[in-house]
Amino acid sequence: MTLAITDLVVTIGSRNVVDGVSLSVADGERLGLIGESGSGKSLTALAILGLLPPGARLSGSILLNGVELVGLSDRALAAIRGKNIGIVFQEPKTALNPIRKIGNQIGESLRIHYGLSRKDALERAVRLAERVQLPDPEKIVQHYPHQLSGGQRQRVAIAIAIATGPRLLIADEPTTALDVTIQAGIIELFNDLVETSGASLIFITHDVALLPMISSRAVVLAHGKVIESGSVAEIIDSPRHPITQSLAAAARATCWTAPEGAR
Amino acid sequence: MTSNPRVRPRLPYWAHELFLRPTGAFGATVLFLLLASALVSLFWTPHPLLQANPDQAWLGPSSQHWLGTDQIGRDTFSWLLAGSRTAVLVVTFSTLLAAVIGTTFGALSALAPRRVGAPVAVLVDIFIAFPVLLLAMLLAAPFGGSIGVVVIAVGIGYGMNIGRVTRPEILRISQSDFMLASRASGVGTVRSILRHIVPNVGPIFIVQLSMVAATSLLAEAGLSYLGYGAPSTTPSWGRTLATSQQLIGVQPLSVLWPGLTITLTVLALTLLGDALREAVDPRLKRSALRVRSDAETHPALAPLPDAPVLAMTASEISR
Amino acid sequence: MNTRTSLLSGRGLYRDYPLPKESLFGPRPVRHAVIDADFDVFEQETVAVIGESGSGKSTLMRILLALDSPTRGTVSFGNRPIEPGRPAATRWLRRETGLVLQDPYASLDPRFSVGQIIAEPLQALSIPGNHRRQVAEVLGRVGLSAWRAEQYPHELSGGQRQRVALARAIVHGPRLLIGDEPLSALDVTIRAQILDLLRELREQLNLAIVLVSHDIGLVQHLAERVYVMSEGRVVESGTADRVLGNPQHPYTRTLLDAVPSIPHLLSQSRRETLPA
Repeated sequence: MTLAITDLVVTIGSRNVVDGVSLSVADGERLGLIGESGSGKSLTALAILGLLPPGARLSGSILLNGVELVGLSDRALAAIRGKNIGIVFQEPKTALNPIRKIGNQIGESLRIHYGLSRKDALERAVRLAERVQLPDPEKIVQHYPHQLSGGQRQRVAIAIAIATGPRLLIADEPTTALDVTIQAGIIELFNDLVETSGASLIFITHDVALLPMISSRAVVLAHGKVIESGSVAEIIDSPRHPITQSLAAAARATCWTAPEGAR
Repeated sequence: MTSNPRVRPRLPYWAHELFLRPTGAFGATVLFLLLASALVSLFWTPHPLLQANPDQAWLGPSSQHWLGTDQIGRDTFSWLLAGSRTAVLVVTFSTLLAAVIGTTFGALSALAPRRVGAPVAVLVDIFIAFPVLLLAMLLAAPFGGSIGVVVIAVGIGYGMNIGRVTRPEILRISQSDFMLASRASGVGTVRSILRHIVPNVGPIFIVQLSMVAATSLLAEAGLSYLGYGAPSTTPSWGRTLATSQQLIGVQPLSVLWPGLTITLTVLALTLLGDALREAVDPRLKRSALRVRSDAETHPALAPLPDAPVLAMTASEISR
Repeated sequence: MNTRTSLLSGRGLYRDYPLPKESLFGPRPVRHAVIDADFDVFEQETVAVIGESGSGKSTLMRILLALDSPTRGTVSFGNRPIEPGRPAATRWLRRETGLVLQDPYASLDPRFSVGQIIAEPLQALSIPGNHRRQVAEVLGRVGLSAWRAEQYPHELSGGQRQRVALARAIVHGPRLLIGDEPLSALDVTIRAQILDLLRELREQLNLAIVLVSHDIGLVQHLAERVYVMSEGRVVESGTADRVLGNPQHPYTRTLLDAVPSIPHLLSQSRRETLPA
């Protein structure tokens, strides 16, 4: 069991923004985490990472490969984070440092956590750029973020996330800020990476329509609580909770119907 | 779905921020005192300003002379009171000049077609390289030291700075979506500048000006100290500070009074600037209405819009 | 089409952007944002322009609305040629058209109240009548209560802001509404609501709509005709049913393949429930 969360409660101010969430992700499994804005899904991810905003209080248990993360010091968490968890956020525009080269940014965690030399880190960076299917990896590592498209920047963010070979990948709405036409490519990349590395993936989104492409199991969050969980097929075809129903219905209402025979 | 909003009459937000918070209240009070002093000193001072009794020089505070006397026997309190006039003049006119120059150069460099705008931006950058002191010296050479020299040097020097700082803001706003939407609604170019750019750049501009106001007083003190500012016959806090500092061995207390007044006023202006920044933040603008329901602020709790006509239940959504 | 009146019409449109020179001598490189584009939208018709980011669809939209000048080509509205230039010359066009942009957080001036924002076209175009009443009425149409006119944009959610943007676009009674990715920045449940709202408004106000988007679902639900753009060119056009159901151009096929669709959703999920 890569990740086991039990009764997680995150309190900000006087509100429980995450209110007793329990979920688990097996080795190599891909879990979808669905919810609207404000449902607590991003905060759950931040809680796993230990990156909650100052003033937030945390209780419950988060076991990563059997190691309890709740209650660890910041330094211990940072060490675990860097090596064992990779995170990809929503906004490729702001995820990268605009004044540093791509190769530099991809190699940074390798230099910090594994003490690689600059040269070695750059070499790894080139191979990672290739892994995430960036065009012309040798050249692109010398580019700056503004020279890349949004989709390419997100691939760089993914390369950074997988650089240290983490057991757990968390993707928080990674395709929301991208064109619908590039979405499929990014999702396929996630599938590919997870399958070949055996890592686990938590894919967070508000768009139910993306689920079948990425995972077989999903958990639905609303108001900080888990309101439904099960296979993706159940959630889309026969949702039980009214909020899940409206999410599924909204996805159907805004999705398009391809002609029969198409894929 | 939403209940009738409770309308709570209250002070407009900016007034609340400006006058009811400690920073703003302090700043506003001191400013008021400054203006009052300047006004009062036009008609009355405890002792005539230019009455010099050399045999009464360097006296300490007494019931006759509340703050003592200066090196030629003038009453320090009266001199400082009248000095507020100079302070008001310097602050007001420096700020005005900085405002005009800042607006002109900021707007030109941001909004004029590239052929004009780009060179202006470079010009501003070059100008900024000159310290205000240097400008004052250059002006004082032909014209001699005076308040005018201080005002012009400070106004131009800081004005250029303001132009530099506001340029990216003006650029950003002019390229924003709401400007495009405004054009698409039929608003003309000039009107859209006045309507949208001015109120949006305004806050930054105002804050920058308040910083100029505070700094101009310090600049006047420094320039007068060096001899480029007010002549000895004009009451000026800076000059008084300079003289007292040079002769501090004779009457140590004499440095305290002008030092205090300058510090206090600069502090007040700075704090007022801080309060101003809070007061004009658009994000904090609130409508007079306070709506009760939580639903207004938390999208997850209220996915449905207001009008019953458009309320949809899950069963209506799934076709 | 039948004898419906032509609204916006563009012929042979080109838009080139000069790029910074690479060397001191030699020609200045040029980016061709729009290449030889023709476009039509008729009264009460809904037309979509689809394509990836950078395909030129937003540039085309701006040219059609006289918010940008074409390097070559002509645009007309209802057979009256449009000369992009001083705002006074295009005021008549502004009366007939309304624009909704993608980002609900950037398209409303944060220093203005909702009521002032919506009333802006009424003032700019000198529309007679009681503006307050017109604002209140259009707020109702887009599903917001009239008292929201006193609120400021930052007090509203994304979906509510987009409704305000819609209100502003229709308050002056245009015949044509143009939306540049109007739903893309919204959560999926809000998207469904705004989609329904657009349908309603279209019917109530007899609007023609031009939809510029990469959201195929939105396009399929609203549009009758579709233009597909790639790298500045219109590579395919036709009725929505034909283009989405039987795409001819290889680019269109690739584009549509990349977008999640309903049968895909259902068949995939059914696949999961079958025993391995």
